[in-house]
Amino acid sequence: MKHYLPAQSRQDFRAASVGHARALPRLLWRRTMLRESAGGLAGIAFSWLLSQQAPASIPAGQASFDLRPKAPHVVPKAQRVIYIFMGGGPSQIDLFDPKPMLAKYDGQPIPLEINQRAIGASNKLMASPFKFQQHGRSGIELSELLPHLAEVVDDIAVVRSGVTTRTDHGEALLLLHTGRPISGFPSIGCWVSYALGSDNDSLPAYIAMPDSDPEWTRHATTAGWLPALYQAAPFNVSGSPLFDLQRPAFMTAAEQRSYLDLTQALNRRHQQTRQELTELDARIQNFELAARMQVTALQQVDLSNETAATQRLYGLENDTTKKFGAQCLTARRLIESGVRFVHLIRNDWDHHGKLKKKLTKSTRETDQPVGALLKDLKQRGLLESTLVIWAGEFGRLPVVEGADGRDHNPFGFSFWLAGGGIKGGSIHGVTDDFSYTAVEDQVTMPDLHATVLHLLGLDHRNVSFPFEGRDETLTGEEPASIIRPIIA
Amino acid sequence: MAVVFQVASSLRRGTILMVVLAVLTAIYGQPRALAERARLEATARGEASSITDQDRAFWSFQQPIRPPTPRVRHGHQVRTPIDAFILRRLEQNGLALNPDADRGTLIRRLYYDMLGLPPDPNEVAAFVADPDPQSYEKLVDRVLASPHYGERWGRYWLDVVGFAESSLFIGDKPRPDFWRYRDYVIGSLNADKPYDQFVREQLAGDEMFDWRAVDLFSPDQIDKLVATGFLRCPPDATDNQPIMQEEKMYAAQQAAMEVSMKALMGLTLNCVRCHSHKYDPLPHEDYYQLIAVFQPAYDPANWLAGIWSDANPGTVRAIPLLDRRGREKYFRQSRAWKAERSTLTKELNKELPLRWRMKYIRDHLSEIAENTVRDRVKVLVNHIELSKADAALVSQVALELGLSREKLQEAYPEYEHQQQQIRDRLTAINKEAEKLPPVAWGLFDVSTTPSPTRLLDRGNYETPAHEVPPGVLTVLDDPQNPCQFPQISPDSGTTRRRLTLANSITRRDHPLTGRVMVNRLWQHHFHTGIVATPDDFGARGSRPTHPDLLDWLTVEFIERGWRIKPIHRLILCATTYRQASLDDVDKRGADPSNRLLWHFPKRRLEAEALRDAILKVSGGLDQRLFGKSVPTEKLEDGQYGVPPDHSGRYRRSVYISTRRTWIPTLLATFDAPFMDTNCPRRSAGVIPQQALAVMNNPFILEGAERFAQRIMAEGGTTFDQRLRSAWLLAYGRKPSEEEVSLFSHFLEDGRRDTEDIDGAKSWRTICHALFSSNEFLYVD
Repeated sequence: MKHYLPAQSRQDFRAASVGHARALPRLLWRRTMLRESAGGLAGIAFSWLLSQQAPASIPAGQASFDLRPKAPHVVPKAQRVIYIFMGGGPSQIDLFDPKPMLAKYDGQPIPLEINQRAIGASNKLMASPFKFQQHGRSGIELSELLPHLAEVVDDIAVVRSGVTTRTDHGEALLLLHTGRPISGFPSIGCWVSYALGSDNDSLPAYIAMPDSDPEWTRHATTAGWLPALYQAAPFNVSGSPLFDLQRPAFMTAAEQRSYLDLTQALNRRHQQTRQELTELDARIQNFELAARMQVTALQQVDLSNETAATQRLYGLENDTTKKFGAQCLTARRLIESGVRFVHLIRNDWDHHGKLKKKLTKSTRETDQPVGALLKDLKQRGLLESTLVIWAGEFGRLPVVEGADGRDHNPFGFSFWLAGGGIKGGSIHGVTDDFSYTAVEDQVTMPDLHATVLHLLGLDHRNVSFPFEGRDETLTGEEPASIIRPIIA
Repeated sequence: MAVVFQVASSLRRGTILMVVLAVLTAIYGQPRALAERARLEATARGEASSITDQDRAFWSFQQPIRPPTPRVRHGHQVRTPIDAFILRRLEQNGLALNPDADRGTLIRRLYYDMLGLPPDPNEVAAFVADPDPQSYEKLVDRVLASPHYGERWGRYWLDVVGFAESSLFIGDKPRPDFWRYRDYVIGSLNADKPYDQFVREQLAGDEMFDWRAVDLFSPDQIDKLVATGFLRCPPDATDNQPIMQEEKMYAAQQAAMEVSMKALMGLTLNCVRCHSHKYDPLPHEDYYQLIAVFQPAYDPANWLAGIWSDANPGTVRAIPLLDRRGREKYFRQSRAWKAERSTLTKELNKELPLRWRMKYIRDHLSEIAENTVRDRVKVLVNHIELSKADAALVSQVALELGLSREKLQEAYPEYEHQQQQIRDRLTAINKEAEKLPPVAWGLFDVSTTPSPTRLLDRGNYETPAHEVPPGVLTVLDDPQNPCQFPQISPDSGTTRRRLTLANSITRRDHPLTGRVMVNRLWQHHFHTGIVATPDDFGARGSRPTHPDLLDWLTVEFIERGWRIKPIHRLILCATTYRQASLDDVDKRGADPSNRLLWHFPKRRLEAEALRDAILKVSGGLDQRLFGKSVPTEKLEDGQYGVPPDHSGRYRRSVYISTRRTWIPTLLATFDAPFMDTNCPRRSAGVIPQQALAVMNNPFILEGAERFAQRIMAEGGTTFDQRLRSAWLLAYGRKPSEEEVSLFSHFLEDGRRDTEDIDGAKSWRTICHALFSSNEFLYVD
């Protein structure tokens, strides 16, 4: 056997190791270390759960933040959120807001003035090519494109009077997520993880599952000036769920453990004379957490241990529904594991042309998985503590664009909520005869935000963060009122 | 109340006033609070508030005066006057400075601080062994003369101004040639350009000489034009989807003004857009006075696209770096393209279809049943411009004839042909226009007769109020000698409004300009500024921990000709900077957060410094300065980063493209800012993704691999030599006995368990552990 070191040095370091046997036992870096850190982990997890803090309101200049669970202001109706963002502007007229008048005046000029901001619009009305039917005990009318949602219609509250102030995707998207039409402010998911922390110490508090352009995802999930800790971790259902999650191919698990042990030994030694720097301790813990994440995150996307019935429910065996089905199923698994906020992001609802074909495609891919998610959450008793939101940044106009499309409509559009604290089977708000403008019970983006925070036991005025000399909140200076009628 | 009346009746009027004032003070607190309250009430009543002497009395609005250097008991610790100011506060709290850090620590601190790179082991050894009593001061001079200084400190300035090489998130179009601004910043810092000049160039470099008349620009003139990129950093949504452009123009104009004031004045004006500031004497009117300064360059009535695009054809807001004829040709051509495009687009979308529609109706007149309608339409089809009623009639007829786009195309092949011709010409123009010459992507007055700037009621561009002249912030103006904006003749090329503003805020007696900059310098040396809120020197910002020191440094800065390097030198040579970082439990009670600096604050490396350090330690750092940005893209694993086969992949991080949505994921994980506006201070997050990144990120792993190869090739032949070499490279110190023991065991086991005969695998693991360790990431 070829020796790596000359005999003399070998003897030297053997002697050294004997001499320091007590000061630096070998268990620090090898097999024994594994056992010890396993014991240590339980300790960490336990202290994690015990260290509940008051909800968020931070003095200026505070520099350290964490994801430990924090108690809301009052007993919450919902503890977690699944936010299904259907970007692009789903057509409320063809999904949630039936207008018989449209069929009657199909092809005729709309007797209302169309705001010039909608640049692609004609003034010619276009009836929905889809049929509507009443469903459930509540008798809510839904379009034929949503048969699976129809099965759980008594669990959802449809808001038909959403309004926003921007017609541009980017700005409306920001309004929906951050309450401002300009970039730089934190998204609602970040606010929620900041305010409530996480119930899981081996996964991020806020996870986003993008199915679209990363620019949109970044836009919808940015932490703005909130600490990066609260920013969404992008999570993929195929391949590696988190960035840098997988051990490099050339490294065995044992080798990685040795590497971690060496690193931690260096870190502990370094920490000894720097006790005042508490973040050093957090870093040491994070290596253990990261090692656990390598296992737990992969478990989250391993859907093979779901029953065949569950897999069928989400449409995993069907090519059309497989992809979004896997995301919805993973969302349920993440929620089950204590992740605070799961954000599903698509942007395929911008149907300026070929609306009939494209809307059919978008709904075929998503209706069954979304319906399955609600059913599955319900049968597991999770729905009552999980708030599910389905929304786009605006809706679409009743008039035709080009031959067969619809342009953006910020003046009246639909979205729905379900689960934690929501009065299922309810409808809120009314648009005019053509679904152009919300005429009753308008719901603004800040109203939606205040409602979501309220259901989580938080007062939207009191979840604040100091920024540029102000205590900033999600709703900011905009008036915001909770949508009481849809709350159970 | 009865008491007050009794007292009042027995006293003269002046005394009454004093009593009332005393009572009011008792109720409302200090006069400052009174002033705030008065302003709040005035704001609530919707009155424009005027600036009072009380407003000007606020600490940061007062001209800094050099205070006397205090006498302190620990006189032996005073190396520069800075120490005296620091020691006075320490002594008041029963503290003193720590002893000096050891030399190895000191050189590592100095290198990371000033260059963002670790020292080479031979530099450490030479410094540690240098017997010269001035060795440290000489080292400071060498470091300040290094070209890497500008790369390190330039990045800080790029954070302050929110430098980003793309427009905005959605769309996020790259900004052509904007890297020149980054090079301008680095070059200016390396040359120790006086800060007042640096500011003037960035606000108004284009107004400092008549560039329109210059034939060939000199390098210095190019610098001045590029410098105004400062005002082009914020997102400009007009380069995005062309909807609601007007609103976006106002937003871009306002963002440029706000960021420049944040950067230079340390004042946050965002809320003044809609109403007078609630806490600071910043009236609503002042906001629009400043906007008026920028109006000739960012004029909503005369808007230029930031980036050429199909939706934004025409002249780009940039100065071609060509000779005069070349520039004039470009401006002429781009204007012509825009005009032609607009004509062609109108023809394609409106007039052409209309003409063919009329022809169709003409050809099918016989199918119109009603005679009167037919006769009327017969006349109308020969006209293009119709009255509303006539147009409606024609539409009605067209509907009845079942006219559609498909039908038209079917009936007239010539129609399709004509459409195609126009489309081809449009494509040709686009192709030509896309070939932008090299440009200074900066700012210049589009005309000398800008549209009037109006105060916007509640900040809404749809509710403009009265016209506002250009002006500076009233509270910062010199009341004796108020800033005057020049009357210019329309043919002078530029309005000199920005230059006037620049001259006003680089006055030697300006209350904020020097303070704000000196505070930024202090912040990067000591992790926290003397004012902890670098972009807010107002009432809601932090108060300075050492106001006298801040003023002393500010006056020193200005008296030394606004040069930055002498201030660095003063700070670096102070005992306060040279002291050990060692914490002491017994002293913590007096100042737990170390705001008084009784020990040197430890700091975590910023993302760029971490990446650069890995490159340097592993022996692969590409030290080329300046030039086009190294591009980023979405890599195989979904992360953003430099393509692994790019020739610039080992360059320093400051040269990596700053396209907003394509910031390298690894840098973002370590808090490289996502540039929404700007970033006055980096956060130092502690997130598990950082642990995952150092464990598994390909860049880190490659670095560890190269580091290991370097150790095995250059680090000697014995285990001890190699370990020592690795430690010196990564930590700037020798390994301790414990560490030697620990790692020798590891190597031994590695050889036995994994048959890692030559140790390559074990060394890779060791180097990887060094890169992952807190000691590598933190500087004492």
